[in-house]
Amino acid sequence: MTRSTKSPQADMKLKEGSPMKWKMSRKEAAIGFLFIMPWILGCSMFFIRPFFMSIYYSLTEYDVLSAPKWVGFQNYKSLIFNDPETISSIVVTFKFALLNVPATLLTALFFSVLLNQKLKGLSLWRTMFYLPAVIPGVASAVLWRLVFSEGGILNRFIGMFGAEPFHWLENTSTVLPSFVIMNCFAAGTGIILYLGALQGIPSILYESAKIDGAGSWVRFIKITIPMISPIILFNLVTSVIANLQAFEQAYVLTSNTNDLPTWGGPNGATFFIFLKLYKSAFVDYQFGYASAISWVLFIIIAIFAALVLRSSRAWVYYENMKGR
Amino acid sequence: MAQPNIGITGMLFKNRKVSPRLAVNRIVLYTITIVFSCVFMIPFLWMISASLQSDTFTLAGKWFQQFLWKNYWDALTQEDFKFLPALSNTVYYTVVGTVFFLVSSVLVAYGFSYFRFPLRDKLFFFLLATMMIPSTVMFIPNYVMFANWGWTGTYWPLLIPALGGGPATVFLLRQFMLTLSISLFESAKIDGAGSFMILWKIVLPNIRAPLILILIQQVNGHWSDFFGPLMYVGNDPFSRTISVAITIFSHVYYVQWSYVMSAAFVMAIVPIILYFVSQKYLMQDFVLSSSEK
Repeated sequence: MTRSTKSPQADMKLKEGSPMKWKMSRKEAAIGFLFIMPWILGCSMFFIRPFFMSIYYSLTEYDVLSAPKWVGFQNYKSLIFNDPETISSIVVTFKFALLNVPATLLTALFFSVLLNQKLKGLSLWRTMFYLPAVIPGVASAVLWRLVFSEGGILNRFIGMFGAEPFHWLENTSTVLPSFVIMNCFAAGTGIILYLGALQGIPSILYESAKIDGAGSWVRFIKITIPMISPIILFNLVTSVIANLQAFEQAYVLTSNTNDLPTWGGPNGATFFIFLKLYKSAFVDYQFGYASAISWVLFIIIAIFAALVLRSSRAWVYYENMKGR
Repeated sequence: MAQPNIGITGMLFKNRKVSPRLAVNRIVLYTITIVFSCVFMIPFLWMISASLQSDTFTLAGKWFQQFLWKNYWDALTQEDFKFLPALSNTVYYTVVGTVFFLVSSVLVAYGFSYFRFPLRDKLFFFLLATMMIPSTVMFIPNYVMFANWGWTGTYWPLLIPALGGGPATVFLLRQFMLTLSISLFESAKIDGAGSFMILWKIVLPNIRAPLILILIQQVNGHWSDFFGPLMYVGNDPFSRTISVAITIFSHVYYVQWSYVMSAAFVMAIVPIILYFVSQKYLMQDFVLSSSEK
């Protein structure tokens, strides 16, 4: 019985089957359905329907004002073959994810290992590292706009070493690294995540490794990393998915919504796929084309998530799966 | 959390037989920790400093030259900014959105946990499957539908879908509900308690900890939400949220940084307070925040 693993309560009732119970269970089924009704309605209205409509729209030309016009795979064809803006947005998104995912992951790992040492005042240090991650995205983004501005503290800092003030966000080569720096400051969530995993490693593993003469680097590589690898995988998958859908920072930091709208920074250096998606829908009113982009983005996310999960067989260690 | 205590006693023990090499190690360790934790705090302190002084000091790289508390009042009552309406809109969206989401998630999780009905396990599997598909592919058709209904410019496109609950939250709540002992319910049933009574009097008090975590996470999520309000509500000065208002205000040609930073600080203080209130739940918090949204 598969049901017994999922709901012991329901199963117990099933065993006391008597003629009276059948009436009861019809009533029970009705009440149960009523309770899950919000989800059934919400899911069919805002998930199943748009899911299929999205496929349909992606095969049409649609500007909301007039009815959708069927164009077959034209949107996908022009997306791949004659829209350099979309292609460059995909490239830029990959570049960002390739820089940002490893940088934030290693930052979080480094500081979590640091905080896992037996330090006094741990909760104070933990709070100080975590606080920047608590600040809402927009508040943090406008703050970093000031930090990266000409008179900002970053230019003050490099000025101490005699460097000239630099336009961090207006320069094609520095705008993505600037985003990465900003995101490393918000690594607190990852730090807390890894810290939790590190504290779960039994110290006996380290002690016996020490007796065997393993140095601290060997212990880190051979014990720490394998023991927290499931959490690294979790963090890796969620951050890959989130980074491929990056939007907020590019919109707040390197776009402009005023008289002369600009999108995604200098030469489109931060013009991510999601920004392109937003622009083609809400600025160019090409809802069919935007749907096609959303499917391309979905496929890219699915491929990368699958690649990470597949690679995990080689490097993730599950302790309670031994011998299975 | 017992860990820090163990840490301190461990330190005291070590100090007795401290070797020079170990002492150097400790000094290096503390130096790195202190320096970097301060570095992590610099942008936030810079925000406070910039919100309290005039922009000439801020842009000259000066810290805490003035303490103009008036800046906060000026930012709130600023003519183009309409910060007070934005603040009340955000409170409205946060409260209603969180209540809708939480109430319906609890009801759905309860329905999936304690009642037998046809297709239940298949439906639940489908609910789990919906978590796999990012909302990216759904948002264009949803936008078109809400636009046709004339709901753009209002909060309904954000609030009504919250009434369907969230799959990850339903899943999590159901896991906690299933850990409760069945004997609790049997006796209540014999006493003639209805389904709602059992939910209210027995189930909810027993899953208080996960409920509080989800509550905090939802309040933070709605409070900081940017993409949803930007797309559906737009930037009408009287109906937008703070996140949109701050963004628009930081995009003007001559940015008034003291006002932007005051507003950003007001926006940041809510999650910070919630963080300190909920610190004892922190260790579980991350799992929730990264699974939903």
